[in-house]
Amino acid sequence: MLNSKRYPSLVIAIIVSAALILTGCGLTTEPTKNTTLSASIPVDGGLFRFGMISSPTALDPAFLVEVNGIEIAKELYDGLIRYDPNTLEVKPAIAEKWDYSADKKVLTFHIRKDVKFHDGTGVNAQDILDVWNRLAAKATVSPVAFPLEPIVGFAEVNSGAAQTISGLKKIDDYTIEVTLKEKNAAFLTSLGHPTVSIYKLEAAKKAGQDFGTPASTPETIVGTGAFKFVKWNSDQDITIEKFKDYYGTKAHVDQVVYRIFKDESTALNEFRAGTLDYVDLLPPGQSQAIIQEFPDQTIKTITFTNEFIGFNLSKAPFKDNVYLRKAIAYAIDPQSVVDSILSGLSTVSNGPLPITMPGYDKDLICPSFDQTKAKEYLAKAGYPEGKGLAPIQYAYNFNQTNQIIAEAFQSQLKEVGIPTELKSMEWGSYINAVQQGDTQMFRLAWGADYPDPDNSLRVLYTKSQWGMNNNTFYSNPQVETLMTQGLEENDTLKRMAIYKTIQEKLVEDQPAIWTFNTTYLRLFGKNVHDLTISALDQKDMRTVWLSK
Amino acid sequence: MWARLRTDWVAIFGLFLVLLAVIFAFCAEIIAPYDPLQVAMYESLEAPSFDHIMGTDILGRDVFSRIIYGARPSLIIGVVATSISLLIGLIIGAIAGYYGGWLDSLLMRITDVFLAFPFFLLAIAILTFLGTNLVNIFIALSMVGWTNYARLVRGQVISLRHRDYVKAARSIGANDSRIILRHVLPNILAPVIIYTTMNVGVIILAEAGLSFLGLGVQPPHPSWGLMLAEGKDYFFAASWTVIWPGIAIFLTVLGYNLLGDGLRSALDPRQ
Repeated sequence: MLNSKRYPSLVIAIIVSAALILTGCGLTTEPTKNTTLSASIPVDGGLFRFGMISSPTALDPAFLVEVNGIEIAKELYDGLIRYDPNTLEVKPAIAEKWDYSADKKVLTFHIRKDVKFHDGTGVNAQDILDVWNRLAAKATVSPVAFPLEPIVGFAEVNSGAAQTISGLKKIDDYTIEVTLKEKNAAFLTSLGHPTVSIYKLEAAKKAGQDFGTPASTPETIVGTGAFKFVKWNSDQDITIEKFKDYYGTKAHVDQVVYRIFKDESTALNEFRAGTLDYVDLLPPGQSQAIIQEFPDQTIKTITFTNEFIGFNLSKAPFKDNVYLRKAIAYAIDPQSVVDSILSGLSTVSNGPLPITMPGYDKDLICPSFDQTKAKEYLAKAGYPEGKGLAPIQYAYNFNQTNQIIAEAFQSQLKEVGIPTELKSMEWGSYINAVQQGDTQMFRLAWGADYPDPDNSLRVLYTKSQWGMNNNTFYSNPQVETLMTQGLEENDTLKRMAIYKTIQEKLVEDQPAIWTFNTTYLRLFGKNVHDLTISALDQKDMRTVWLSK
Repeated sequence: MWARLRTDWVAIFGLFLVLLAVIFAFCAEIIAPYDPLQVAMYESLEAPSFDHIMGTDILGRDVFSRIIYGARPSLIIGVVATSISLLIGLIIGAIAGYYGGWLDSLLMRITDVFLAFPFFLLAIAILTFLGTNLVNIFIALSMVGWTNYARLVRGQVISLRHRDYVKAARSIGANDSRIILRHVLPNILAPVIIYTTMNVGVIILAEAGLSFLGLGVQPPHPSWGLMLAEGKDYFFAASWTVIWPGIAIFLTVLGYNLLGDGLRSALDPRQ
């Protein structure tokens, strides 16, 4: 022991010297580029190696609750409609066309006759009805059956009182009639969610509990998409291959292997080693260095996810005190967070809708960083210079980024005299506390499931969603009426005008401060072409091709 | 003891490091050039310079000032949690060692149960259950730290309880508590002091680990572990946000270990 003590000062000297050298060697940051891919003549063939961070939980459409499952499932299963990967407009898929009844409550879908399951058998109307009835069934316990909720008879099937949805009718082998409870302009768009996509129910039933799990086989996952299932090695990789009898535009690559990583750094190192063509998530804090290391090989996507700071309107200090909410909205500076903490890789929100969402009002005037106005509103709220205001609890689910952002906002609020206490919690306890109204001010994000403003607004700001998705406990009868009108209006221009008014009302009432639109940076190989990533954060494997 | 200790330059170096941390903790307001909580977003991740000798962190806070203030929670938690562990361990170890028999077996089996859990995991579990604040950190680290003291003290007490001076004290009518407090414990202090000194370093390391995981000192208050956690994502762009708190933890723990080693030599009658 004594001998080993003779050299510590030397060791310390070396370490401290190394520290001094290293601390002087930091990389300088540069603004992030918004890179897009250029198209040229596609080449068919090859294996696309997709670096995916964390494993999908399921490939059963009835249990697509997270992004990675959706990412793969949308390639395996087609729905009645699909979204254009660039514009997110509704396009025909299994249904080649559809008609509305005069009262807009009945939709008739005309099914293509050339759609085949991956086992070569044809798809008909009954297959669609069977899959949707399974999704709605009580026994299925699907957490994502929401697209079917507007159909007459859904509630009965979902509660176990009926076996089949009465509002679903097969007219002939290639025609389906869907009757809605009310006019619903968002229903058609919602059918692009992979949870309502079509697969061979008979094969799924044979698999039983194994359907959509790593125990799946090509005989049990029999879909309708441009790719068919090959294998799923649990926590390692999932392989899909081009379906040669696909009815639509066929994929260019022969196979896609989704290699599963537990952390971003390992995936990045594999990319550097040349064993991946694409990395889906990059290590936090390294985006600028990665852009420098791989110029013209990154792509930036602004998603449908809007982050916000919600105010609990069910109790003090925010109940009936819009001035205090406005004071906070003027006191914080999200742009400074984007510029520093988020390395320029996020987008400041301007209102309740993500900037990529149809109906987003770019002219909407939201409170933006202005300390003078913040102090004015604070005085109007009854707390001049913050006097008499007890520290407000600002809660967030724990991760380093959320924590650092919370510290930044806490400091900015302190500058105008608003005291806050930070409260970090793990996700399970956190969401429970938020939904039960046990927090005062909280950080949340909402990612829209489909490209329709209803999915971002009605879900978060109507009374029927209190304690579920509406955790600010906001309710305004005028807004509720407008939400219903927006859902029932089929004229797109008139509809968007309604959502513009809703956005203005929400900004006026300020139940939340909309902070950031989640933005991702992705990395792809030099041989990767025509990779499109939509605002739904989905990468289209049908368009991508690899140069030799 | 001091005469022997002061000739051991390695131990003196350890003492110097410990005293340095203590001075940082007590005189933070005088030494630190900036408010450790002062955010300056547009000075984010500035490299070391004359204005900020250790650079700034992601929120533009002065890293040097946060290192200075960060000594406080480390030392407070290190000293308080070690003291509580020592007190519990002394009581349980002395009772078990002195009385022996079924009481010794019972207390040592309880000790074994606590020892069966990995130190750090048990602390995490306790903090997850109790919630994170300073008092709960004391409780968690003391709950997992007392067992080694109990074992150490028990062993020492067993070796002393049949000594002549203990028998003599008993024969003149001294009661058990007087014998333990006045005759047994003073004679086992040397190994306990050595272990305690070294254990402060272990507790400081544990506190840094808990803060790194978000279970220790809560932001925005500076803690070396928290600074490591907040800086790790920026290591390649701003290594100073990680290296300085790392060095602070390393040198403080090293200081306590070297001092403990020095005390062991100084208090060893065979040397």
